[in-house]
Amino acid sequence: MVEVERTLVERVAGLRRPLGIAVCAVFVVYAWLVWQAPVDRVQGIIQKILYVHPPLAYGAYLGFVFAGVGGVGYLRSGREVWDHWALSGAEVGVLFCTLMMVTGPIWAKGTWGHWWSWDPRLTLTLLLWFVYLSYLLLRGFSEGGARTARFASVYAIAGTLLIPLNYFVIDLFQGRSLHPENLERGSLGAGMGWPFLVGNVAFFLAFVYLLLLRFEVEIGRGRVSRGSDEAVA
Amino acid sequence: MSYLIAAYAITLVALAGYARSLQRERARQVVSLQPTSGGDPANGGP
Repeated sequence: MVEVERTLVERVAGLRRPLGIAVCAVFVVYAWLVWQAPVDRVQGIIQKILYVHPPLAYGAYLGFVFAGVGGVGYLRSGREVWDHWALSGAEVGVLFCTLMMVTGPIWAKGTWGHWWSWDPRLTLTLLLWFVYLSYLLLRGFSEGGARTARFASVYAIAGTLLIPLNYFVIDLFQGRSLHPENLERGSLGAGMGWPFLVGNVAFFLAFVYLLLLRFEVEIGRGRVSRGSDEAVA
Repeated sequence: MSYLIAAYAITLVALAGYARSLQRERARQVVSLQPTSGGDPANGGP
C-alpha cells in the first residue's frame, strides 16, 4: 500500500513540476493579452474583469464535479485515493468559488453601482459556495475514517446537482436575472476572444496544478500520520 | 481602474499564496518522511 502510494505521488509530482512552469508562462501571455484587450464602450475598463471572473467560475464547477466524481469512485471501490481526489477537488473548487465571489461583486460595483443583488444566479452561487465550504468544515472537524469518507462522498455527489442549476438559472428566469447571460460563441466583442480563451487555459492549468499539489499533500498527511502512529506504538 | 487592479491582484495573490502554503507543507512532509541516517544498530547506529 505504501509502495503504491509512493509511486502515485512520484507520478503526480512528475506531472506537476513541468506544469508549474507552463502555468507561469501562460500567465505571462495572459497578462499581456488582457493589457492589450480593447476597452468596452459601454462598461469601460471594468469590463476586463471578464477575463478573470468566468474562468474562476469554471474552475469552481470543475472542482465540485471532481469532488462528486471522487465521491462516486469512493462509494464504488472503497479506495481511499478516490476520497483524497474528492477532498482535493472540493478545496481547490472552494478557493476558485471564493475568488469568483470576490471578483463578481467588484465587477457589479463598477457596472451596477452596488456590490450585491439577490439575483437568482448570485444567490445560487452563494448557496453553492456554502455547500462546499460546509463540506470542508465537516471534514475538518471530523476524525476521518471510512464512515466520514462515505458521508462526504454522498454529500459531494448531492452538491453537484446545484451546478447545472447554477449555470442555467438565468435561462430559467428568462431575462429577469440581473446577471448577464451565459457566454455563447460570437457573444464577445472584437479582440476579446483571445484574452478570454487564454485566460481560461491559464486558470485551467492553475487549477490542475493546485489539484495535483493538494492531492500530494493529502497523501503525505496520511503517510505522516501513519508514521507517527507507528512511532507511538 | 482601481477596482480592476484589485480584482486581479486579489486573485493572483490568493492563488499564489495557496500554492506556496501547499508547497511548504509538502516540503515539510518530505523531510519528515525521510528515513533517519545511521539507523543500523549493528553498525553502531542509534
